[in-house]
Amino acid sequence: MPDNNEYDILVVDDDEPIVKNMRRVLRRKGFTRVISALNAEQGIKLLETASPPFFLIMSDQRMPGMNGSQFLEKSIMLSPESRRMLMTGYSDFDAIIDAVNKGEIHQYITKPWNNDDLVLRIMGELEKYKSFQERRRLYRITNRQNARLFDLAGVRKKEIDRFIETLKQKKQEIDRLKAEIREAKNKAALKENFAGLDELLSRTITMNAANLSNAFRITGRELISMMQAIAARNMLEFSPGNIQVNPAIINTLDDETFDLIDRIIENVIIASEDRLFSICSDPDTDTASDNYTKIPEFDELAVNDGFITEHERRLARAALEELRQSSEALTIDRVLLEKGFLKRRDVSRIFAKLAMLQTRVSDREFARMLLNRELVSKKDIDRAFLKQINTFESSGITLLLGDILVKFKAIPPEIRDEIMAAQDRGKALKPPCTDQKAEKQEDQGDHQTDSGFIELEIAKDRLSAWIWIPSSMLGKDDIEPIKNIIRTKSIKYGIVDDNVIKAFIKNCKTSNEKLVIARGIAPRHGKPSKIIYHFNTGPDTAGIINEDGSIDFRSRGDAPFVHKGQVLAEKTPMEDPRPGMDIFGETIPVEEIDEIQLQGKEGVVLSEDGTRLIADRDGQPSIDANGAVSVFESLTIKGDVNFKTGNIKFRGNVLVTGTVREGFIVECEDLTANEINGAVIRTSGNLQISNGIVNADIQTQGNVQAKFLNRVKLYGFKDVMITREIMESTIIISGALNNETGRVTASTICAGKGMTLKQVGTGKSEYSVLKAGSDDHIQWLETTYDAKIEDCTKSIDIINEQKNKYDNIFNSLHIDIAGRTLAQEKILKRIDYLKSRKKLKVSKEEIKELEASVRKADEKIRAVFAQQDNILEKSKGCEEKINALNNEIRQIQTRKKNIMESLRQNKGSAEIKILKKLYPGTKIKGTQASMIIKQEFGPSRFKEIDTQDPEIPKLIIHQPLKP
Amino acid sequence: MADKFVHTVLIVDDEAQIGKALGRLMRSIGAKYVYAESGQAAIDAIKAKARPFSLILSDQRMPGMEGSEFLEQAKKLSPDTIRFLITGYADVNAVTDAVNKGSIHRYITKPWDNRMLTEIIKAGLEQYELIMENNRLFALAKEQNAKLYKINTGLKKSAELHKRAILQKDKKIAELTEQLEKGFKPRDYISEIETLLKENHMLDSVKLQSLYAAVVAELYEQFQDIAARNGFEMPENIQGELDAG
Repeated sequence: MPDNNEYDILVVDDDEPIVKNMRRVLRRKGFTRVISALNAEQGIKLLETASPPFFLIMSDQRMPGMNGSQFLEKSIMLSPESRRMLMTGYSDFDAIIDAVNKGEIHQYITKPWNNDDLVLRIMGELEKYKSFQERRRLYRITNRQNARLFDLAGVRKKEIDRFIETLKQKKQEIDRLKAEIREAKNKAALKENFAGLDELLSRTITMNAANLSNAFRITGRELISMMQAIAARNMLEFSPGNIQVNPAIINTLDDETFDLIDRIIENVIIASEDRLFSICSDPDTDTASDNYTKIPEFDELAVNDGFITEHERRLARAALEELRQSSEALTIDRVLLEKGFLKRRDVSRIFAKLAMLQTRVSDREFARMLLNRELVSKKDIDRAFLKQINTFESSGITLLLGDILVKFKAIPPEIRDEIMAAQDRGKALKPPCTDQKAEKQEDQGDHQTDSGFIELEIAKDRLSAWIWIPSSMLGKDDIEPIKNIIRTKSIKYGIVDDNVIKAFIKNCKTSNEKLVIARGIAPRHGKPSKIIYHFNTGPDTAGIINEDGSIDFRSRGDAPFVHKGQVLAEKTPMEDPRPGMDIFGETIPVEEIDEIQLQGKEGVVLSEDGTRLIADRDGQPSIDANGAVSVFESLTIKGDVNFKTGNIKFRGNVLVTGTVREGFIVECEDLTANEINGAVIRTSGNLQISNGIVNADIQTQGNVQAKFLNRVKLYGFKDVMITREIMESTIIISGALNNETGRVTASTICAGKGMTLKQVGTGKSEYSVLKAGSDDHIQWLETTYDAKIEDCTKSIDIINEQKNKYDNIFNSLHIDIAGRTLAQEKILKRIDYLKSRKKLKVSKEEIKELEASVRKADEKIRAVFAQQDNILEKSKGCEEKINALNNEIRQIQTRKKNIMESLRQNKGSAEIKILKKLYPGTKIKGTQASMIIKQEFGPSRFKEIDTQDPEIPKLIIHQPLKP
Repeated sequence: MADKFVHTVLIVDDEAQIGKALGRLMRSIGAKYVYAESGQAAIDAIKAKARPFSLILSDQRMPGMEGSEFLEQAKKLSPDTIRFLITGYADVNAVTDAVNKGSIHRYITKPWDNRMLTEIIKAGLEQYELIMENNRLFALAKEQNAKLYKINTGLKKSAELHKRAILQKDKKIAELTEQLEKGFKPRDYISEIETLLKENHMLDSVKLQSLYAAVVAELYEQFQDIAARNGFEMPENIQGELDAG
């Protein structure tokens, strides 16, 4: 076998000559990778570290310590896929058969063995091993294919469904466009084939005196507006008011002019056609209601309907003008009421009529749309309008034209809904509509008199509606008019039961009593959780400062300390917000509240209900910039951090009694040390250095305290206090810098919350730059985080590319297999065909050849399947990596967001205070403005202020301080 | 699996007695068997059988064709079948030869222990089952692969087809929309009248005024005529009302 050298065999036997002989025999058969152990213990060790696993484990039965069958039994756990062979020096059939049956061993061989027999058995085991591997791979492949087939069936169905749906939509769109074109064509044809005024009028209006007059007015006004437009365009004078129309004029005109006049009239009339349609009236009653082409004012209607005289109207108008000076909210109906020109019931009546007219404007358009589409006859429309008027006159209820037509069976409900929807009336009908009373609040309801109509009011918050009923309805049984009114107002939600309405009508004694007929659900605005911490989360107080400026941190006695089991933080329960529902069935949205999660990190556990954080060990509690709570243990290093200790990475507080030496890295929570010299420091807690920090690179999320800084680069989240010099250093912090007792030279300091310094410069040293107010630290953090995210994104791109490559290979292998299978099937068919004609001698040879090629193809396909399987593993590996990177990006983003938020929250006064002396050359910077100090200053304060001047929006001002 | 799979074992031995004994052993483990008394008869049996044998158990020493020779041929005829050779101590060379050619899976030396032989045969049948299972899975994998390929290409084709169908509809929609926008714009009556006036040299303040008067008068006449035909009259002062609006 050519590939025998790829398979590892483990031989466990204490008899070395036997092992030697075995090696020789096996090597002859190509098994070059034979590893031996002298006892079971060694064998187990080898099994534990084996990669790839041994295909065969052979063990002698008799060994010191663990015997062979025990060892092989144990090996099942360590290497389940291996074949196991027991070598025995005697024939204990029962024990062996037992072991075989239990599945502990696959083979046994008795000593001394025949080499041929041994080889045969090992080859047999290898064949079986390969078969099992093959089976496993085939299972994997077929399962995967199955899943994919299942997916594809879904994909196909979705694709088809989507296609059908899209096609349907497009078809509908085409049909709609076609209908529109047809309609437009008809209309155009109609207008093209103008058959005279007579024909047009008989088509558009119901013939009676009032309508005809109206039609004349409409066309006449159209003529005027056209003439005016033409006159304006040509700079001509045209004022119809001054033109005397003498009917006799037409007797003097020649034919040519008549022709012109006729053609003008034709144009005017066609142009007015749409508006002529809006003249709809009932031929019998000929109510004035229909002559309104636009909704009249309240008082206009009142006059027209004879509630008041024109004189009274003028008086009221004048009064209103006068009163408006003092009261904006006054309306004409109030004035008319107060003047006693109108009774309260009449006011309601007129409002009801206005509402009806409003409805009729829409209904006329509705009617015209129906007529244009030839869906209904003019007669039905007229009949419906008449019914509308009559219903209103008798009950004060306005029915919709569409509803009436449906009731008449003149149109099906779908047509009504469609046209209403086209008119966009669903919304228009909703209050606050024309009924101005709907604006009134429930508590203001000063309903006193019976208007003779059912009155309905809707609360401003749209959460309730109530009615009054006229005395005519008291004690009756018919609730339909009330239900009608509820329907016309589009009230849908929280309507009381019919029985309640019935009972109300029956039991109500006066028309002053009101009934709440619908109630919505008020929205509930939730309350977010609050977190209460049970330990001191404020800034740590400094240690004791010695006279030489060094700081003694160990005497600090107030470091918080908790014991295991202590509650560290508690969360108050959150109240869920709940959206409301108004009586029109619309959801009243509420703002979502984010659930705050308690975050516990090292040494902290979250209680099962998620409301408490509990210390899991004794130590110092601490809360990080993300709001996560930890309890830290501490590590004390006696002496220096140097080659002896190596770099320190500790998830807790570190105390170094000596110096952190050059080139070493310390990463921890709080770090307390005597000094730092040339090291890299990363702390998520405070940094407390008794003496100086020299030549160091520091990033910290806590406060910093030290005696002096010399050539230090420091990025910090919080405050920094230095008791002595700051030299040749860069400090970029979000907090404040305190250097009240020291001196700054040749340094760049940028502190988000400002700084207090004693002295800046010496007159001889390099200049310093002081920047306050703008948080460069945040910007630096942001760029740092963004760079990290950018790195991840780049990696993802690269891996994705790799994955795509694998996927492409996978697909091409898939196609390769399909092609081979197809070719193979063809050959099989050919074989069948040849076999069916057995007699021909030539066929036999061909069949043999073909069968050989089928076998060859099978081998190849198996190999390609294996290759495909392998590629998929790689692709999956890429996917895992991408997922991990995406996770990392998300984590960074959250961290970034949290830290940014917490840093931005606390803005301090961003001023630079100099307590003693400021030497010239120092540069003072704000967020935008900057200045270079030209003269020596004593105690002073520098601050950036906003100017009103857009040219120089910011300015740094200087104020002397009292020493 | 072992319960479902019906194995047929080919027993080849010139001694019918031994063949019978081996047959009994097969039955005891639930396998069928076919007996052949010579290599040639066994080859005929393999050729005649539609489904291959699971296992062949052949004696080495037989008149005519020797067991190892027969098994070599059997391997060619039925490559998946497990082949066991039964040998005596004197057949060492034949065995070595067969092992080297890879034509046998196992050899069993006479005399055998029945329990041992049972285990060995069971293991052989299991191996055959495994091979069959792998063949089945392999065929399934091929078949499914072909199906996947077909569906994938089908999906691509139908997606292309759908795209075209939708594109066609979109084109139609665009066409209709254009037609609607172009062909049926409302007429600009004002411009039409303006053109008429221009043609008749009426674009003049005085002429326009008198033309207006004439048009109103004519319009009124026409309305009056219609009113009269319908049995009523137009109000007298209605012409004067026009400018009031």
